[in-house]
Amino acid sequence: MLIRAALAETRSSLKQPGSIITFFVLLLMVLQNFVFNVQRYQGSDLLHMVQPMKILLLGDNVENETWYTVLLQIYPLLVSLPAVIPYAKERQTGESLLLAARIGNMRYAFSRLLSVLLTTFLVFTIPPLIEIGLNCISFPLEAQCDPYGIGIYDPKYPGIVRNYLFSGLYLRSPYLYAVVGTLFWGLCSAIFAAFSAAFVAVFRFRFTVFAMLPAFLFLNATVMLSVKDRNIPGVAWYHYLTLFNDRLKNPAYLWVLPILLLIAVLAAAWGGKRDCIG
Amino acid sequence: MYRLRYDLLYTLLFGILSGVLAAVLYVNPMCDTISLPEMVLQLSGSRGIFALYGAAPSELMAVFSRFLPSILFEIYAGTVMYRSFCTASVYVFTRNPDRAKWYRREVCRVLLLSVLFTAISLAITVLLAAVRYAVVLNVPGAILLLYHFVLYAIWTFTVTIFINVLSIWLGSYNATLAATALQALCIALLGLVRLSAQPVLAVLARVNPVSHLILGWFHSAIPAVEEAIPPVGDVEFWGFSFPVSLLVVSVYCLAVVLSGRQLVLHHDILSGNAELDGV
Repeated sequence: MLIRAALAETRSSLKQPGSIITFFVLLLMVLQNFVFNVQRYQGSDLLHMVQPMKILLLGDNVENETWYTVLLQIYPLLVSLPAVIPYAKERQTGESLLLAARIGNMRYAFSRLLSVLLTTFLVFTIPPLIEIGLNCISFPLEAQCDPYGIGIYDPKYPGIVRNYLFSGLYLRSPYLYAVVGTLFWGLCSAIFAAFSAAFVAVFRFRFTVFAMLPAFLFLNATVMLSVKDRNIPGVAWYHYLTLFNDRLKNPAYLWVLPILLLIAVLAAAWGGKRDCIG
Repeated sequence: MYRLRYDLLYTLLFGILSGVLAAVLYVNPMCDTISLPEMVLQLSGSRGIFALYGAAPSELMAVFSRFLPSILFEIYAGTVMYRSFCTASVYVFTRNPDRAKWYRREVCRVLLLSVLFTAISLAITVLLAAVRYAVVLNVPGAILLLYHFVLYAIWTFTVTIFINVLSIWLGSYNATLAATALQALCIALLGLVRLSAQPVLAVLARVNPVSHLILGWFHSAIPAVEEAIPPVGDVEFWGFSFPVSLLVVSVYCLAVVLSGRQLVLHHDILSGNAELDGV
């Protein structure tokens, strides 16, 4: 019943304008990056061709950074658009009461949480996966060059690769690394959205815009707290979520993700227990 | 009157928060002494004594995070005018049959809040910086501080009115997202500064309103102020100066206020609540 309700909520959220807008904004950015790459590397010699995964939008394509920069700035806002805003609207209009009356308040709260996780994961994962597919089809898979011009035999290279989040996986296969990194990006997006949804489950917002503040403030606080010194592990969210990011990392910081998820689960349990008419 | 008092209280809180964040995160002298011009330039994108001249995303994210406190204020003040359209709008406008007059009053209210927010934020930044470091006050610094205050107050006011007006049409979340995305795009376009030799990009850089908020790219007819701004690459040829930037930012402001007036005058208040997708 819970899974069925969550899937029904997900189907409904995916049809909302917010999900469609987010999906197409990401898809447009990805396609712009792909078209730029095709024009830039058309006819390039294999010896000078950049590794196709290193020119992905999420991989900070160094020659086409404008949209990547826009994405980093609007991501904290965008992450709540597909599923959190419809949830906040549902609470505002009182539609949530009807659903809670039909399936039970606790079940409704958890089905909503699951739907927020699933919707956000799908919307944020599919466009970057499409780009991986397009790059695999269009560029030679044997290409090895680095967009920063650092050769794989350069003494600095191992140090750079060691700083990647899943560096062991990258050394096995850059393609598998890109796919896993993209799934990780989707998973983190889903958790950030669930964190915002936790506040929607507990509080009632007069304006839907305030429902996105938890994730927005949290993500931007990590950017503000990040220092320029590259010898100190980065704390900005994009140091961990984007691909091929060579900033020194402290994997212990990733514990924040289960903590955010736990907050979301506790909030859903609290929201489910509370009198939904109050 | 009660509503205004409530808004003023929130503006004061946002101003203090913004000032504290700016003073702690962005005022960074090389030693324990900082001159006022250096401090003001750091508030508008400079790192140390070096003006913004990088296209790296991390560099531009640092510019975005400087705008963050004002974005938070804009999210709050973006509901000041809009809330009258959201709840009991029929009641509000039957008591205010002259919508143009109502709009003028609301615009003045937003202007007052924007000016206060910028003034409080700057005052707290300067005060806190003076507590933490030895701040060398001088006339060029005071002039740059005035430039900063005027340009940022107008820009904050413009974006706030933009969000209010767009919210009537799209709802608060979509309007905030659109305004933030536009600002993000303008900030990302600052990265094209290195390519300014290309005519199209040079024009794009000149019409980009956020370019006119980077005081490190300015020239001044006042020799002392000109001396206080360190030179920076190709941007010297763009001819940014306070009067030009004031004109550009004011044109954007006027365009937003006038088009907002048209939207408010012609909006059908019975057509539904944009906040709830017309429910």
